[in-house]
Amino acid sequence: MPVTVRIPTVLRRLTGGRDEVVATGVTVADVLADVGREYAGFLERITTEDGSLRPFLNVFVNGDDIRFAQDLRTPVRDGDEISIVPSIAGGR
Amino acid sequence: MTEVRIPAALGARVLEHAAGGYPLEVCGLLIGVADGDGAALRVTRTLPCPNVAPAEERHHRFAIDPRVIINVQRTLRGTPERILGFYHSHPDAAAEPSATDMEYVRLWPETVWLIVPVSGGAAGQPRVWWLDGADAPAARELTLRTVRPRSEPAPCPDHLPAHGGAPCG
Repeated sequence: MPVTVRIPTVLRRLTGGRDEVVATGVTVADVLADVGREYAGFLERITTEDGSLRPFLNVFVNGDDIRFAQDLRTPVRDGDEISIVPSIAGGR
Repeated sequence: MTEVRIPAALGARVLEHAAGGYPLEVCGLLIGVADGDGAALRVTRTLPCPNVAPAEERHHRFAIDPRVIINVQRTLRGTPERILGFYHSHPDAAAEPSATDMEYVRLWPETVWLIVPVSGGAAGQPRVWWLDGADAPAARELTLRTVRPRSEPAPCPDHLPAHGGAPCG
């Protein structure tokens, strides 16, 4: 099922500068893996070796944080939008 | 990118937020548009955000809930405005990116980082930093220019996410 994935600036060098790409899958993990098949190095920047989401990255489906759903196993439907948002923090 | 332009009233609001939060760090979003020939950015509104770092760390750390960011991004989609970057305060420290700041600056290249030094509760001169790309060796300083507003600041739309009760610039 086609899903739009919005790419943050920090990852756009892996997607040829594209700020959004279309991929398919029935879960967030499926869709991100599909993006990874198209764009080398993408999946490794998103997930750890055990397949979990890397720290300092947040993923939303239609604006809802997947941490409050089924994480990377959150189901997606045709036309959904996945957004990847880096954490924002810092301090003196 | 060479310059960030901010209307005086919005700049003052950021300084007031920083001074009012002392000795804790405060933070917020800078929303705006590309300006002129594209070498400058113009802030059109500021959005104070709750500092969601652990309470015991807020005197030297800040964090913004990523749900605020996604909500604002989605709200602004289809408009000329976008999130230009972030501001935060450095209580009793210089307006330069710390090592902690740089960890996150590297996650947000080509994004404005405005830092307000606050000493003894008084806000000092803010400075603006920018990373040209994720692989750039260091953040560089941009010129921060106070400008006259082109029009009255846009009202805070009801659909922007809650931001701690502070006014939206």
